[in-house]
Amino acid sequence: MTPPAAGQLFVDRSPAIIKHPPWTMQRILFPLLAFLAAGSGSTLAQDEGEQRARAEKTVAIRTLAARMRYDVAEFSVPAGARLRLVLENADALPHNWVLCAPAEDRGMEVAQAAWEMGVLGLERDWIPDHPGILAASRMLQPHETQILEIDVPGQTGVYPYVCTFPGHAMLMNGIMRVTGPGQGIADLTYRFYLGAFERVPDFDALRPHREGKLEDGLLGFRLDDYREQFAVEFHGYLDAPQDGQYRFFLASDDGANLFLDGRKIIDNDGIHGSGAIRERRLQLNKGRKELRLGYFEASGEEELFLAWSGPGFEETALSEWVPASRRRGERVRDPVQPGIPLVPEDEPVVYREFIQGASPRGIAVGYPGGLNVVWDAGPMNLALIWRGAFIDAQRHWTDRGAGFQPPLGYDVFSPAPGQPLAILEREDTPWPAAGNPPAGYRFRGYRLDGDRRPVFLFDWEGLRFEDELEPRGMFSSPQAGVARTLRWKEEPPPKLFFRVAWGSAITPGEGGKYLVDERFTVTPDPALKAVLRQAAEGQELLLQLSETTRLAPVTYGWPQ
Amino acid sequence: MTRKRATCLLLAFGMLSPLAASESKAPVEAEYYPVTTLPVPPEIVLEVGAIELLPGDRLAVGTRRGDIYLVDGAMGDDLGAVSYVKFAEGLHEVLGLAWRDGWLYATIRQEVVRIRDEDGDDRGDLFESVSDAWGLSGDYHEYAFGSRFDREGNLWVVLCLTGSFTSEAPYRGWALRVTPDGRAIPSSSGIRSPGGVGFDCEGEVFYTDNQGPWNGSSSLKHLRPGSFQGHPGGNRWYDRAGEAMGPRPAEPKSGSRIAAERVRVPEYIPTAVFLPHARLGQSPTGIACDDTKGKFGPFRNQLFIGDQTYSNVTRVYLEKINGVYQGAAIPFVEGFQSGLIGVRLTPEGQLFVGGSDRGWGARGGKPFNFERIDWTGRIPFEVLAMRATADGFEIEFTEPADAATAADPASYRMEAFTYIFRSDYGSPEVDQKEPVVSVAMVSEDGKTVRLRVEPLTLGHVHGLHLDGVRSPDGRPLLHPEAWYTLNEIPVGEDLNVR
Repeated sequence: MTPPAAGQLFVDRSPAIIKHPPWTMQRILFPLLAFLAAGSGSTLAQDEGEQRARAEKTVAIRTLAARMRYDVAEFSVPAGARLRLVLENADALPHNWVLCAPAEDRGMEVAQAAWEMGVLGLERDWIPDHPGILAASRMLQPHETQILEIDVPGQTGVYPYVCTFPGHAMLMNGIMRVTGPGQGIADLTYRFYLGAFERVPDFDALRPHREGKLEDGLLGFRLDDYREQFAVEFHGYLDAPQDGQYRFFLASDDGANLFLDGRKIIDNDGIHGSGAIRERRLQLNKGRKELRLGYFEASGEEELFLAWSGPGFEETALSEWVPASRRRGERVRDPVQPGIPLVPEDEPVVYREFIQGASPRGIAVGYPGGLNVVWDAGPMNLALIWRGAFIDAQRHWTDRGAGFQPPLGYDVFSPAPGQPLAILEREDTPWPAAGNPPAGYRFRGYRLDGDRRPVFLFDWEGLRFEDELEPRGMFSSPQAGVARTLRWKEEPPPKLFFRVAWGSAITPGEGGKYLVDERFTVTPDPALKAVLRQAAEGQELLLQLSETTRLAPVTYGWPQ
Repeated sequence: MTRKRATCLLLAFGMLSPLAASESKAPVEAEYYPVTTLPVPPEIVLEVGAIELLPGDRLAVGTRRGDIYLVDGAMGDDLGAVSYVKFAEGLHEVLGLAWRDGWLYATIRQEVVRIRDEDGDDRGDLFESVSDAWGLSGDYHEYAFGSRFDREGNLWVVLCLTGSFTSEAPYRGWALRVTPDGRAIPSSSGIRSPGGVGFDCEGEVFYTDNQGPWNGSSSLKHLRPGSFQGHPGGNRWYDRAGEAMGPRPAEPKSGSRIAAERVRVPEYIPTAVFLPHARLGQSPTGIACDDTKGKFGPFRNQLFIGDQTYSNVTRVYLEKINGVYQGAAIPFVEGFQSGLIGVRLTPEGQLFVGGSDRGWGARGGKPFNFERIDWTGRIPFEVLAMRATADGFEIEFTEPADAATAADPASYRMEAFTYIFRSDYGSPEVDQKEPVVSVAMVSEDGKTVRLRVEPLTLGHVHGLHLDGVRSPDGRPLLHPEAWYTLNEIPVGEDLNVR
């Protein structure tokens, strides 16, 4: 790489066509130089850049399609380093990336200044004349990429970045954490394990549940579904800025062991709280040390604190969590999103957003008692049954609500895909291929019964059908299931069949019950003629609609 | 926001310096149209998507989370009397509400559904699908906005493209009208990303479209059955639409101008009124027409349009020249607490607005809002109407203007520009002109001034700034600007000046 010449702090290397002159280069250069020249904010490049190789770091940031976010909300980079930023716009809207001087406002002042440019903003890619702007990309059109090379300021701190396209910054923002000596663990990765541990386990004998990087260089855990009975193995590198005496501090709930260059430094194993902070003094040579930390959580609180101090730097946390007694200043961090689970309490809850496992016309219903269904107004059929929790609305009720949301509970099954009714002229007439919507059907809505349970209405070839669903038992009981009754008023044509189950293998059992792929059971009303036959793939269970009863009841459940 | 800040500055200077005394009279919107924030209980997330008036001074409010609330007490002064009942839930973004014969019609993502309370407990029990005759691919962008009933009893549904560019399911990028018997008639193609659909006071159908591909700026457009609205992304469905629409129109040429393409593509209706991007707003939404016969102030038969990003309401004066709609956009009221989506003007002259900032940032800082604009009965000094003439424009004021300032051409400044009509996202303002106001002739009653303007450019937005005009008692205009989209120049007499 060519060393940066004066006036080359910001280099646009984009292979994309530059539609507007890159005037922003001059605009940002002067504020950046002014900032770098001010007081202690000098870069390592100016101080020692010629004497020693500077740290280099590459960070890739992508805009997320339809989510108005960057995929990286936070990253760390050493002070004075050379940052190579690969910015990719994967969204269908134009976006840019503007790095701001340290501020607690997440870049909102700069974004507001861009907004107030009015029509001038169109000409200038929404980059305002603002002293807080340190670097900026072009306004990237959809699917453009730009590579920026940025001299990271020498001043440590939290540097916000935003998209300045008006209206975007409130969601499209992030922070670049500029770290000084002793700050952050380089190349920090974690492996997350499940198990009922009472001591830090031998990780080599275990298979990780998941693993990943911690871009901010701080020990921490993103807890989603597992809040108890887990263990984490962290791995990374510490950079000792010079030879000398160092002190390490460790506290954890439950146990943790710290290793440096393969040697155990602090043993804090066992089940306990995080009240006691263990300390170890150590002579270290200048240079890179391999850090390994094993941690486990049995139950209760989960907390982990690691810090160190050394020549030229005071006690510096290496963990996200810091005990109240050691905190100095507040960190900027997004709160962990807890989700928006919908809980049917006294009445069923209806939720018509995009549900995974159904067409975009799926209608989810959660019943009190932990039984749930999706009735799909695309194919006009019952699409999903599951038990346990109903659904998490967070995906759809935050941001723009993109995507399909899976059920929140468990034991999800789909009784039979495609349309519910078909005329089969012969016994081997195949079930019609799925149309969306299937020919001859029309959705008519639903009515709520006395318990406010929806009864779904549709027309087939001009005949009105009602599909009534009723939960049976509590979700955890052996009787748990969903009773379904298809009703019609007028005489149906002969050879009209109702497909109630489809699977690889359907096995008849006792009491008229059929077992489908060990996943679910279906019990048709014995008054109806049931036909179990080979389907194009697997088997299917059909009921011939009766001219006399004008209803077709079946009950779905789970194998015991 | 900028304007409000400027006003504050002027007021501050006024206190410091007696020389600025005349500036201290700068009018503010709230003297004429105060905004009341309606209380919402903490357990309700009221991301307003649509508002409808029901019998008995009751409102129905549909939300992006899919709920419909019945709201009582929203018209009165006692905000403690405002109460909510949940009428329906789970409806996947309610972006249209209309009331008829005991049914509440809701336009949601998948369908038009009509809902009725069968047992009198203020909760909907019967949800009848009226029409679901359009496709969905499952993209979040596939919004459906619905109108109230038109002159023939139809509901108009405008359907966003799958994203900004393509139509991945039937009739994405189209307007359909749903008849009283539930038929859906394809009525217009060429829609990009609508934010609302409504009517002028004669019942003509208009919708708002957002800046993006084939839309250099956000705008108000006229929906006529059989028309094409400019974005060819949805034109693949002409075959499916059949005789309701006729043959597929020619593709517009990217990089061209509207004035040229409307000649090449005769089905294309040019944008009626641009709401110039980054000047008046950024994301227009719901439309309300002032049919209150004066109960909402002097702006009879004019349109009021919400904006989701700027959290303001813009006023539109429309006229029809040579069979084509055009007119002027003028700021009305700004400073709402969140991005506006739903608007509804009651016959008694109360404009209800509400919206949210979810997914797209909005001014105001609140995640959602529900607010009311009342008219105090005082007439603001405003541009009431801006009409095209053969050689310029005629400006009508709400009150007589000071004859000396109104007759001085130096009181006016005009700029003109247009946008590139192209498949890329948005457009800068291009082809700038500097029209000169050479003559300003004031009517005897002082309420109207005719301006001779040269040049006039077809297809251009003509932005008029009236900074020098004063009322007889020295007040400037409340909003000294108006943005006229000139599709057609009327035939008529030139201004006769000796």
